[in-house]
Amino acid sequence: MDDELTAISSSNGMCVEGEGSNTQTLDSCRKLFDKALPDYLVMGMTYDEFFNKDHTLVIAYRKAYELKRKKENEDMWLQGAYVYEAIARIAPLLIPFNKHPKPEPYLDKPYPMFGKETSDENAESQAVTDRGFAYMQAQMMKVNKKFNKE
Amino acid sequence: MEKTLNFTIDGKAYTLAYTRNTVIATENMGFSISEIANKPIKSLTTLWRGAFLAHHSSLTVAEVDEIFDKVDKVGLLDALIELYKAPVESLFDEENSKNAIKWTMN
Repeated sequence: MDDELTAISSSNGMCVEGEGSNTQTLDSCRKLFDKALPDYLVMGMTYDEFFNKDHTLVIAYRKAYELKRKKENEDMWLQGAYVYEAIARIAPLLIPFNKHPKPEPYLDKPYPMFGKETSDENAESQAVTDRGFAYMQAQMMKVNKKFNKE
Repeated sequence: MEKTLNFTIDGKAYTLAYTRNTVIATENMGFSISEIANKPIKSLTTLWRGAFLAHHSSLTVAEVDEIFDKVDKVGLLDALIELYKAPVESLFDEENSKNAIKWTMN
């Protein structure tokens, strides 16, 4: 038995087909792992991670893969939206017998993706408004001064 | 986070855990979950030895058995079974488990 433990650890605990009454159990457990392994390899997990590292890594890989697929799906949806937008903008060119078609130019900017971009745009327009308000106030003060002198 | 069983003996810290490879290795050593009821002592010993393979594979069986003699055995079998089952259970989706029919034990 002394040799058994060291033999298993030196061979990294690799499964060897058993014999006798234990064969079925060994086989079914190994089968379960072998069946699951290809899925995790697709998710980017290595063989070593799957068999020898923290067993909860598979949970993180599953969640990460789900997020990755969700992102890919959103990217594809976004690409479809740009194509749709582009076709809609050149639609006048596609109308037959239209002698003076007026297609719209393509979008100046990509769609805002994060809330931050929208708030940046809002802040920019607010700054323009503030500058205009300050200018108007200055003008009014000048005019008031002029009237007060008179 | 990996499920582990931790203790310190003579100033040396030990971490017992199972990976999928050591689950297979332990079964190779003769452990069968279906035989726990019939052979609890043998199962406990084998599970104990198998739990050292992940983090303390350089220890010999004699050293592992020596540590076994020193530790409290109350609840040890249940704890080792928990460790042993963890690599298998983590393969199953917890989302499916949430929706599954719940059961109770009396």
